[in-house]
This record gives sequence, structure tokens and C-alpha cells, in this order.
Amino acid sequence: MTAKGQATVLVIWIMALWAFNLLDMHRMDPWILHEFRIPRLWGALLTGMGLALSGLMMQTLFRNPLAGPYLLGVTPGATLGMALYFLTGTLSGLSLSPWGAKAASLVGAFGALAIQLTLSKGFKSPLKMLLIGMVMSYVFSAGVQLLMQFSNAQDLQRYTFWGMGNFEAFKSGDSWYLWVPIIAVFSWVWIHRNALDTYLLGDIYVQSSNWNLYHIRIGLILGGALLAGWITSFAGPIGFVGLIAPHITKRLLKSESHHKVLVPSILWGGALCMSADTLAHHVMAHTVLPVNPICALIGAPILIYSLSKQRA
Amino acid sequence: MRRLKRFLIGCFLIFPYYHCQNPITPDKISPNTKIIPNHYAEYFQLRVTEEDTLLHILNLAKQPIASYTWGKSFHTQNVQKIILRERIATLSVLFARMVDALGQGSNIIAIDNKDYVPSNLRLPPNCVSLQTSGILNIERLLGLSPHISFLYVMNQEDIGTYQRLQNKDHSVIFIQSHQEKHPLARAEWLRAISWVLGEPQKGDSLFNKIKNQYENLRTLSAALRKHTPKTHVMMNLPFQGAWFVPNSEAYFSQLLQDAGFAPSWKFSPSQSSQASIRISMEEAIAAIKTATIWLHPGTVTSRKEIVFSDSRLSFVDTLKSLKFYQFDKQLEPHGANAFWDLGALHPELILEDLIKINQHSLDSLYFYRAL
Repeated sequence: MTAKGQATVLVIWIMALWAFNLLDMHRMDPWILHEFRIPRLWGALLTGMGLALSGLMMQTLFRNPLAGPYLLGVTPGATLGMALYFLTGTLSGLSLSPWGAKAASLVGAFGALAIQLTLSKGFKSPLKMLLIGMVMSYVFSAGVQLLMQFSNAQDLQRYTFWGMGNFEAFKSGDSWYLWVPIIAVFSWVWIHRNALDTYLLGDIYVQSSNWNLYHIRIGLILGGALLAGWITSFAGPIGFVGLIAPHITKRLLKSESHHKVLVPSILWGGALCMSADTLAHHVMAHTVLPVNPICALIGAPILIYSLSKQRA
Repeated sequence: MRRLKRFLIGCFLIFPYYHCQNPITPDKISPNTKIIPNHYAEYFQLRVTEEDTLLHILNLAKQPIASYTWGKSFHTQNVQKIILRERIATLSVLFARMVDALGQGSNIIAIDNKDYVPSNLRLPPNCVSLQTSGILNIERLLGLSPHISFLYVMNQEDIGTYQRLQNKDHSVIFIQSHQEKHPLARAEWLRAISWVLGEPQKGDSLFNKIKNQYENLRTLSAALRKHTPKTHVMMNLPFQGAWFVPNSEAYFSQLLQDAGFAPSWKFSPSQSSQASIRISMEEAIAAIKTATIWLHPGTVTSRKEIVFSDSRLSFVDTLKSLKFYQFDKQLEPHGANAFWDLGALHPELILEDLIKINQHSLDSLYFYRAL
């Protein structure tokens, strides 16, 4: 299947999901349709697209098809920021602001990125960045668990709900806060697609092609990591999508060229998240399942199948 | 092949050996075991033999997870004999409340966290906290040499962990009241504790009083609402778009139904009836519009704070007929709230408050406050 064919199929799939979720719109109160249903669908679509884009950038950065947005430690940092917000009983004043949680998550993401930048000393070695990111993830997870020991039941419950991931908190207008960074990062990747394809071949090829290796790495890290952190602050930690979407695209297209995989990857991400959200709302009557486990249940078999088909 | 045959023969020989090692239950020793029936509780069982009394604690599958005995002679493997009762550790404020109600509050030497003990529950000054960080400090517990420790487990895997702490002078009693779905079933664990502490008549008498008051209130509520439609009620607040409400047989749903309320959300038949369910924001909005009473709106202390949980809830200000009630009348500055322990032991107090709210008779609410 060509990239165009894949993208077409995915667009149809996404449109079908929109149609399914809006089947009863003629019976709905327009206020509920515009304030709840449509923002949730946009939230799912944009979260998936953003995480897929971030995942693609991470896979490029580490030249590893199994890399994901969590590897640099930025998303665990965002999670720790959110945990500090919830589990310390919140900061006075900040806790009452609708942006309090998002701000805390962003501070966590930026803080993790700052630590990564300091310790990896100028992105000289992706392997070193990966190891630092993994260690930071463990440290941040340990920090969250310690905080949980000292929290009260209410704060603990709030953090747990947030950690399950959901798109119901998206309000009308929130989609712009995701569209703008996604378009900005997408534009950067599209403009630099040739450089990124060369980057996949190795550092020497980049240097011999007169691309600036340092700038490419900065762009990948800042774009990929901050996009993941920003999206996490809206939807909670959604796992697997950033890993699976670009990986499936590359497997189907048998190519890693950014010319081909960029658009289908983000469409895969949007389709997966929307599918998970649709299942979460329709599998059981009168209740909503958490999105995160559904993403994992959809993504894990696909990943396992893909790995089993991988040549040695 | 020879090795396989030897292995299989060995298995056949070992199997009867282990079978013979199975503990013999009291039923098999004495055919005259009587079960003392419970009124509501389903997860403990009291049995009386000619010379002994047994308490079985049951899991959700109604299988015994622990057994205790006290009395003249009986002791078998897997049944803990309770001998001493003077030093009591209670790893929940509710259990401390129950022990105190039986007149043995002065014997409490440890509790999970003293910060969450309401001021109307007086503990001895030397009572220590054992679980301030959320994890039980086992060494500290054992250092206090308790005779009885009342605690609960959420996972069956933890049972073995705590049973290791038992010896002939120390009994670990699992009080699994959280498994019960009916409010009176939870309160009835007072009887189990009373039998353990050697005060069965007192426990039975106290529980009967609670039960009778509750049942009278329930009958009164039914009579009051006989010819009027049920009041629709909404509960809780969302967080980050996640809105949880009790399912049909959850603890609080029982109280609502007994008080004459009808939940304005739909129950989920495909999930455990005792659990909380998460409803979508759309369902929640639809439920709010049909409700006239809103209980437990998160942690807010005034109506205007409701919008902080989700700005789309600003429309509730226009619903003048919607009344809000928060259960923080007994909330103390350090976070203790007697609603959780006193309310669990005396559900008739909660029921009375709910009936008064339903009848718009707001004088002398005990746990609730109108916002």
C-alpha cells in the first residue's frame, strides 16, 4: 500500500468514527454537542496525532523503531509535575485555576528536559540521552510513589483518575491549544524531511551533507519532547500510541522515509486514539472505560504481531 | 519412561498424605455446631460448638480466609486461638470507634493515623500511629506487643503477610467490613468485634439498637414518600473529565434508596453493582438537569467553587431549584471527618440526615451542611 493509499484509508476510518460518534446528534442538545461531544472527539484525534508525531520524532532521534515519546523522561516529568499538583494538596490559588494542572504538568516537562539537556551535554550521544531518560523515568516514578504515600485519599483518587487518561476534559476552544503546536512541529518536520532522512543513515552522512547535526537533534528533542509533555497535560499519560502509530506506518510502507511516513503516522495516531475513545464510551452501557488500557490492548497485539514478523 | 513412572507413583503417594493433613474443621469434630445468624453481614460467620466459638472471616467468594476461636479447648491448625485481649491495635478509625463503643477504648494502644481521629473519639494518650505514610510499620506494631490487631486487607495476597505476625499471644483479626454492600451490614461487624473482645451481649444489644433505628427510619421514609415521586439526586464532581458515581448496590446507593431518593444517573448492569462507575460528562449533565438535590460535590465549600472543577458547570447557577449539600459539618481542621467512621458505625445518623434533606427539614443535620 502506498503512503497515499494508507492516508486515504485512515482518513475514511477517522471520518467513519466521527460519523458513528455523531449518529445521535440530531437528538442532542446543541450545547452538549458543542461543549462536550465535539471537543472530546477533537481531543482524541489531536492527542493521537500529536503523540504519533512526537513518537516519530523520537524514533528518528534514536534511530530505533521502538522508541516513543516517553524515552527522554519528559512525559514522566510531566507526570511528576501533575502528581505534585494533586498529591501535595495543590498550591493555593493555582489549584483553583483551570490551568493549574496544565501549568504543573508543563513545569514538570520543562524541568525534565532541562535535566536531560544538562546531563547529556549537547546531545552528543543519543544512547546517553536514552539512558539518562530511562533513569529519569525511574526517578520520577519513584517520586510519584513516595508522594502517594503521603497524600490523602482524595488527592490520590484524583491523580489515579488523571493517570487513566481521558478526553472528556477537553472543552470547546481547547483544540486550538493542540492544533497550533502540532502544526508548528509538523511544519518543522516537513521542512526538514530530507535532513531527517539523511540523519537516519548516520551522523557522518549528516555532516557530509552539510546539515547541522546539532540543530537537527535540538529540533527533534524540543519538538518531540515538548509536544508529548504538552499533550500529557491535557489528556493525561496516554501510552502506546506514540510508539505504535509510526511503527505500523513504517512496517506497512516498508520505508522510513519521512516523505512517506509522516502523514500516515499522525493519521494512524489519530485513528487509534479515536478508536480507543469510541470503545471506551460504547463497550459498556452507562459507563466509560479508561482510555489508556484500551490503547494498550489495541496497540500491544499489533506491536507483537509486527515484531513476530520482523526478520531476524 | 521409568523416571516418569516413578514420578507419577510418587505423586499418587504424596497426594493422600497432603489430603490427610488438611485441617479438620469444627463441623467435623462436633455435629452440634450452631451458626449464629447475621442480620445483614455476609462476610463473617459466627459458629458455636459445645465448648467453643468460632469466627470465620470470608472473602468475596464467601470462602474463609481466616478463622479464630476462643473458649475452652478447641484448637486446630489454621484456626487462631484468641487468649489475651487487653492490648488492642486498630488499623482503621472505624475499628477504633467500634472498640470504643464496646467500652474498651482505653485498651487501644495503636491506630493507623491519629491525625484522622475525630475529636469525639477519645483515645488513650499513649496511643501511637502506625501508618502515617500509608504503609503499616510492622516492627513498631510488634514492638507494642499487642494482643489483638484489627486490620483489613484489600488483596488476598496480603493475608499471608499479616498472618505471619500472629503467635499465641497476638491475634490478627481481619475486619473486612468494606466488602459489605449494605450500610447495616458494615455496622454489623461491631458484633464480630464484640464477640472477639468477649462482649457479645453488648455488641448484639448495640447493633440491635442501630438496626432498629435504621429500619424505623427507612419505614418512615417509605411512608412519607408513599404518594409523592422520588426526589432525583446527583452526586460528586468530575475531575479532569472523570465523573464517578455509585452503582446500583454500592454502599451509598443503598442509603439513597432507603432515604427515598432516586439517583438521576443510570446504573451500569455490566459492571459490579457494588462498585463506583464512571459516567460520561454528557450523561452527567443530563443527570444534573433532572436532579433537585446534589450531594457530596467534591471538596467544595460553596456553590461558586463548583465551576472550578469544570468551567462548563457554570450553568448550575441558573438551576435555582438545585440544592447542594456537603458532608463536612463534622470536618475538623486537621482533616478528620466523623462521617467516615461514626457514619459507618451509625448509618442511621446518615439516613436521618438524608431523610431530612429529602423532606427539606434542615434543622439539626448531623453530617450535612447546605451550601
